[in-house]
Amino acid sequence: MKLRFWGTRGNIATPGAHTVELGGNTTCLEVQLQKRRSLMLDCGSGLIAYASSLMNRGEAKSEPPIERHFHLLVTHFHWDHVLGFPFFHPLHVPSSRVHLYSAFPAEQLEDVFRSLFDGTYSPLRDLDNLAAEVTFHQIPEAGISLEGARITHHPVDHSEDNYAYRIEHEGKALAFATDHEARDRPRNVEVCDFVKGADLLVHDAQWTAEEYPKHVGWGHSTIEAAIDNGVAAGVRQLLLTHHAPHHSDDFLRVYLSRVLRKLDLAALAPRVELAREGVHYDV
Amino acid sequence: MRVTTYGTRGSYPVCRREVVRYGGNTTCWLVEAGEDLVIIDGGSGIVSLGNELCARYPKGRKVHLCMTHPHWDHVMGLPFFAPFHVAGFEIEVHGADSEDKPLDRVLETQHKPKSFPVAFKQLAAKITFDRLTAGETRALGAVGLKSVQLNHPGVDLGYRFETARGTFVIFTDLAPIADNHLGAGMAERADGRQKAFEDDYTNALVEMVRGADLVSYDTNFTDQEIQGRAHWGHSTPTHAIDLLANLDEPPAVVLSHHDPDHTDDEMDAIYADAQEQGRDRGVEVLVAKERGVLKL
Repeated sequence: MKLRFWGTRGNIATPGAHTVELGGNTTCLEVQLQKRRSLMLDCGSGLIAYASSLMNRGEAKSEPPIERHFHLLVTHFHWDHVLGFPFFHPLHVPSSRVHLYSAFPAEQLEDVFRSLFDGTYSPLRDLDNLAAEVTFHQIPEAGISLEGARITHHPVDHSEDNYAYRIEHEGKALAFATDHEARDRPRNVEVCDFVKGADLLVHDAQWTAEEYPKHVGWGHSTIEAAIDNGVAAGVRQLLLTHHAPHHSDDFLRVYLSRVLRKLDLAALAPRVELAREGVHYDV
Repeated sequence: MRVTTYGTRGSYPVCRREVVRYGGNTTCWLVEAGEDLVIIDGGSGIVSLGNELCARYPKGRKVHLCMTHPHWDHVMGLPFFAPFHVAGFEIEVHGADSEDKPLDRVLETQHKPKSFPVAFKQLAAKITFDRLTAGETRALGAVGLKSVQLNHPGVDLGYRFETARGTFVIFTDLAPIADNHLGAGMAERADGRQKAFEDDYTNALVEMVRGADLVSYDTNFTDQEIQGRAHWGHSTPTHAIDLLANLDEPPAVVLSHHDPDHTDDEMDAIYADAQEQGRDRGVEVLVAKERGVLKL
């Protein structure tokens, strides 16, 4: 299993020279499974870049058209996790089969994604008028199997209902906890339990410790608390994500190295890095 | 009068090394004229503008926000516009109702539960709405505003901002009109009198730009790219120059709403071509770059 980030940014897409290293696109992750279709996590603006890469590789316009299936798993419905979808090019390709999944009832998921095509915010009116076939699915509490991977979810601590995912494939485990506020609450203990022993944990780390007191209850973690969670859960590798729009590449790099120096994690691992757009991580 | 570009890109924000010179943020402009601050559109570029305004005016101030139309690339930054969240800011939103939603609903809907954590009614700033109909005029402090409907799907307004020191016009998101009637109600108005309708439309645009100093124009496409895509609602540098070249004293044109696929290098080439065309036809051609400042 490999993981590639197409979007690492929180809140809103943040283009510019100060974000090109870690990436300015909002949340979108590609879980690449050996010889199987990828699982996409969240539909932030990174999803647009993912679709462009398919077009450039010519895969989306094969002749004669073959059915192409896309699995898009959504954590919750804040803008930075859905707003790439109206620009997802495969929606305009008749052979596309787009499957959307979330922990929410399928009707709720469908309502949210249909409302993106209300004719007000783009010339596209009504999802049914688009070429692709789009279907909506609820992942039950017991989880599902997709492309040979086992997928489960667990609620996290956010300003809105939101879920962490755990994806297990060929003996490896990837956990994704975005928009989770790691604080002294039973919910955080549950989340640590849910991601326990993952080979790779992707964790929200929007704030610095200095910024946090003004943002308690906003549903995001500090870099420090995300690391604590990674340690508590005994994960092998920890990638920090949901970078704040006001944090530049240089700021984050310097800040994290300072935090890690103080912690002296050398002995206990995990390996901690800032999630970076375009990089492939082995799970 | 000072015009600053905070977002130059069309369709959606583009985060790539290859676009950092022209900018990846979507449409947002700031017009500063004396004491009056007028923002045009709330694309992703409005986020950094908002942060600047909060730093500059910690106690808030009056700001005008003119919305051209409600497509994502012109509204997506609004929930993240810091002055909305600061008491003391007074923001008057000007714009047309869309076909399905009145102007205030367009903004409120972006704050609906599940989509954004702060409800529109909870925003700390005082936000008022001035619903405009195409063709209407207003006084925004000492800035005279005129509006016109542009040829783009839905209701899209072009604006003229007139001051004693200079006049700036922005036409963002408009397609050529010939045999291509995209705007709300345009097909009906053209029915049975297509030639007259198209002439009226073009004359209205000409009157908007006559005597202006600077016109920002949607030049998303090149002449090749627009083939088969005129119904998408965008224009080319050639269309911009065509409109302006016939005037006695043509305003300068600023190319904007750059296609998300156009890299900086491609933009350099598009700009050079347009400049050459402009020189031949007596129109000064400029290009929008993020954080670019134009003084009138």
